[in-house]
Amino acid sequence: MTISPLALPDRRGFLLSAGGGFGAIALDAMLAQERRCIQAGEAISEASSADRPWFDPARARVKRIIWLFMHGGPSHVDLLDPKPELGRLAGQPLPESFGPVRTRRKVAENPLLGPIKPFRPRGQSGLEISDFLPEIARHADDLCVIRGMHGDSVNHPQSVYQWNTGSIRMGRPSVGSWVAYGLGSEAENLPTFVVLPDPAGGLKGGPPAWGNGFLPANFQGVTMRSGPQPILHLKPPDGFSATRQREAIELLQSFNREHRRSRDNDHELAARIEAYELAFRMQSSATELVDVADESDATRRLYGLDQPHTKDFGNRCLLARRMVQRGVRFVQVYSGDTNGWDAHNDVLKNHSEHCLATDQPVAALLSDLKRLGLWQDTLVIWGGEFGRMPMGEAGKGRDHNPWGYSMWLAGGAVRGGSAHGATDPIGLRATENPVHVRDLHATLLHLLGVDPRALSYYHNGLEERLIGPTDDARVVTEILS
Amino acid sequence: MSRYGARRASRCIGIALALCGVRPGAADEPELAAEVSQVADPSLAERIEAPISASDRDHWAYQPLLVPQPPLIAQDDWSRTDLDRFVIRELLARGLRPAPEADRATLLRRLHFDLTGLPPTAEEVDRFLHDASPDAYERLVDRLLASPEYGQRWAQHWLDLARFAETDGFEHDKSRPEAWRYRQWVIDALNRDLPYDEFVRLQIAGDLTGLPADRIATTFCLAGPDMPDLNEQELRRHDKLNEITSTVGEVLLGLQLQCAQCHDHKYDPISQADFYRLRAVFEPAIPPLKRDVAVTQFASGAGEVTPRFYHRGELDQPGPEVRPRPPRIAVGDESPESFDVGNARAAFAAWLTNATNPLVARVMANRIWQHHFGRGLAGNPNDFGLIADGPSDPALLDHLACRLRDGGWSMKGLHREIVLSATFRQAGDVRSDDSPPTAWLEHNRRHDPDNVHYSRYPRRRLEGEAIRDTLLFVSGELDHRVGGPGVMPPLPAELVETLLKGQWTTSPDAADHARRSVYLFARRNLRYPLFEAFDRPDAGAVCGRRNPSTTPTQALMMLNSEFSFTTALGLRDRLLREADSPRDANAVATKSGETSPDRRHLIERLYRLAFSRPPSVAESGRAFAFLGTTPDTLNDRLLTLCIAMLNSNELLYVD
Repeated sequence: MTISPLALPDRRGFLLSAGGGFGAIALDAMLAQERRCIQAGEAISEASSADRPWFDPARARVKRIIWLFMHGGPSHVDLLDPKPELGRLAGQPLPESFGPVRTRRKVAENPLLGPIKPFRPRGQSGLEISDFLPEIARHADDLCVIRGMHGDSVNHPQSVYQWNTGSIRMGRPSVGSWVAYGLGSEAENLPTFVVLPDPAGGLKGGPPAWGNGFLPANFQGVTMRSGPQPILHLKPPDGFSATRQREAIELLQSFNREHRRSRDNDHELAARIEAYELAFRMQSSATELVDVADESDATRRLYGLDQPHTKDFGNRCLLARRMVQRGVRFVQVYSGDTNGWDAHNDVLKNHSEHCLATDQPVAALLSDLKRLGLWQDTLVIWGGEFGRMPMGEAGKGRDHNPWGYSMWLAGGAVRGGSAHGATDPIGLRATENPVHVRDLHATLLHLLGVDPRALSYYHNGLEERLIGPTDDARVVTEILS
Repeated sequence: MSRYGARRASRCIGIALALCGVRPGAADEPELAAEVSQVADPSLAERIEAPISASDRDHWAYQPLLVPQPPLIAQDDWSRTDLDRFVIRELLARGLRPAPEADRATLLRRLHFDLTGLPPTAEEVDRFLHDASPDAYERLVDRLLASPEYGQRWAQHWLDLARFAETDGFEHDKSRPEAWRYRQWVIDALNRDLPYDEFVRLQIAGDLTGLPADRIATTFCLAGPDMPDLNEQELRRHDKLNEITSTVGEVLLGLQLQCAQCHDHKYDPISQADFYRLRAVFEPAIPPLKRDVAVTQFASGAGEVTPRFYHRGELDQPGPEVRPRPPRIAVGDESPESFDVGNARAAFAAWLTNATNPLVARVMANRIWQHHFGRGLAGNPNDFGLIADGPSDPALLDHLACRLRDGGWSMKGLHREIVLSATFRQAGDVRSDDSPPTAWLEHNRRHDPDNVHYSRYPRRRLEGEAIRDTLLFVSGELDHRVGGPGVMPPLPAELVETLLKGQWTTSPDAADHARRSVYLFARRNLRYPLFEAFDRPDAGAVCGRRNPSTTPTQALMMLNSEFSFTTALGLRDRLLREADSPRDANAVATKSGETSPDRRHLIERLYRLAFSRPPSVAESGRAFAFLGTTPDTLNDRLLTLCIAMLNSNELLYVD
């Protein structure tokens, strides 16, 4: 026996496999199938596996998430967590009974700083919210405030990473990437996970916060902006018209089809053919998405697009709503430039500015989701990477506090008008029903119909998970409606 | 058990349960672990560790590396090298046949990208296709291995492992102004074929040789992310040491150690004490850190901090003192006393590349194979443990590992054997226009659907770096200068805005913008967009294998970015320019007196440049028709044609 490749096929085999009509039909059928599978940000290989044992759509309470990320760390004791005792102790040092405190800027010895603005009971629930947030306060009965949040680092980037990826280290996949991986795509011509950064830029920790880590790149957060170029490289370059681009794509696709015809078992090549078609469609769908001209004047006013201080964040909240309407599953909207809500020097000045920019747009988003029937299956998250210390800094400012702080959730799946857990009497540490960041991650996945313990991706010898290797993370069932 | 997902668990539950059952001192027994931390006697930590059992040592990866005999196959007229005899044995055993040899144009392009990350020039295409001498392919291999582009290509594979970047990451993402010297060191080391054992030794302990050039190599250990402004500098040091330990374990030994930072490994015979003993090797090299001071090199002299075991991996729960030593499972039967704890890092570097260490050679041979075939023989290049995918052909892996080790650790030698093999030269899943799938292809597809047995050459997509280099190369704009600090080509303003001020300053010399991709400044918090879109890892962690993805973002970037458009214009202008003064001996001469360039000639040249082959008659005809006959549309039509070809799958994929 000699080892040589098998002989050429006989005449009959040739005819069977070379019928041009059949080949063409098969290709079209395959492309049609792949068109269904590969949506924006979704690779054919992932979609066709249908291997998502962690996902049970029947158990999903929400279909999409809008995450309003208040970068820099808003002060819970001045916004959402009323601490009359802190007011009484203002000016005094931290009582010794609290023990040593790890801080970023050695503020443990500083005198306590009382709440900056008064809190009032709001709505029928009587949930207390401060005067910093008058518009959000009107929605008190819709808010589920978690007052016992805590994380693991006093540093911005580590806490930004922990909120976004579950780990204080760099390089792990973000929550949005896990969601895109774990659920797949719903939008026809848009990405699954979109990030709307603050145009002033400078997130502490940078774009790795919405990176895909070790997950395939198609699960990465796609950054979108308002304006003529909402996605990077969306439009043809200057001097190259849309007509000519279509011509180029048609020529390209004819090359690709011919190339693939002689490699006809290759799904990846087919996926790339479809990716170009999708890219072409995205040029119009993304442009249509960010063009809010078709929204009514009333809606535009609601979000504050007519006011200079609310225009930017209002626009991005409106875009977030337009995205979830179009099937984007996970939208993150960032408030705050490099410093953002990081009120080291003057809480009043800093928070007045940021509350003015965001309070009305956030309230508008809540109203609008209700108006459009999106309330029941959308989850809105509001929070920063940590809260702030009860001690003062530089007189009227506050340092970072990851040991106990507040955030809120809203939407049909959570208990509105309620507060869960508590910090100690001065807001230093979470003491009652504490909720760790990874508990909240578990809760988000749970609400999406995903088993947080089962959602995993094999990497370097481990089934990696958003909630980490241990099973400490718990779904906060008490806050679910 | 429950920390592993159901998918995986169902596969390995048997192993896991067996291990949990027989392994005292596993992490599920916190009381026992708590005792360890209470005990002052350093030896006790050793005593309560589960001993390495004979069955632990039975695992393929830990077996001594013995030279396997290449199989004798009757009437083997296919094999060209010894490695082929292993491949053909597996193929025949499964009723498979190898694919025929790929055509010459395919081989030329494949070999070029594989070894240099660049396509051949149009002239090389013609030369190689017309070179009938029997050793034409061998000469090509030797020439490419000797070219500086080889090191520029293969260095990136290593830099992925080294989680190399030129900044810290985290909030301030500060530059590491000297980091480029390490990249340069890796490129140079590969180009001069520094033996792999020395390559490894210098990256672990190059600072101990006394030569400044060798010290640079230890950047490997320190290249990970860092947060110099952390309040708790002891924690920063703790994290750094742990990260170095895990990196060394997975990159050099294929051992996943990071779980053992907090508890004994659940599946693999790696105890928590193993982790801290390996960490102790590096402990003296990292003295207490100072805030805002970068750690760019190892310290010399005795350590100031006693190496310890840390209960649950927590800095504030120090346990007993530990002595430096490699992980027990990797040591074989040597007694602990044989390890020189006084010069632990030098001893460790020497131990790693000792001829009796089976892991280092196996792990690297697998990586080299992986980069030639897209997938390692063992599918998890950073994990040779119990639940990872074992090698599809253990004897072949051992053959390659022995060739590496016994061939003076020459990486080029191993490349040479691989690319000269009949296995590498096989045709891929491809046939010429309109012909039916051949019988061998149908057969191989059916019986080796995932090409686990290498019954054909696997098609591969170019990496982002190679795509960029290729676009620059075919447009004639690639700047071939070697070495030096990272360069910053222009970035879209929207991306620069996401950074802190001054973090991306476009290099003033425009020629720098066309340098090879490996020389682009590697900012940890912002990958170059084309690389990011095409799956470059983010340098936050070791990456042994990239995940190729297919996304519309890639398509948008390839169609619309200023970079792609400029290179398409460059290619168009190059074609028109060269058509005015044809240098190409095979070019169709333009008729004297004709004012417009010869379209057939343009097309011929374009195909050679972009696809490394001449066009077929049909392709040439279609392109000719597309270009039209009116002179005033030629420029526009030719640009469109260039854009289409630069975006095409034929350019992005290698058969």
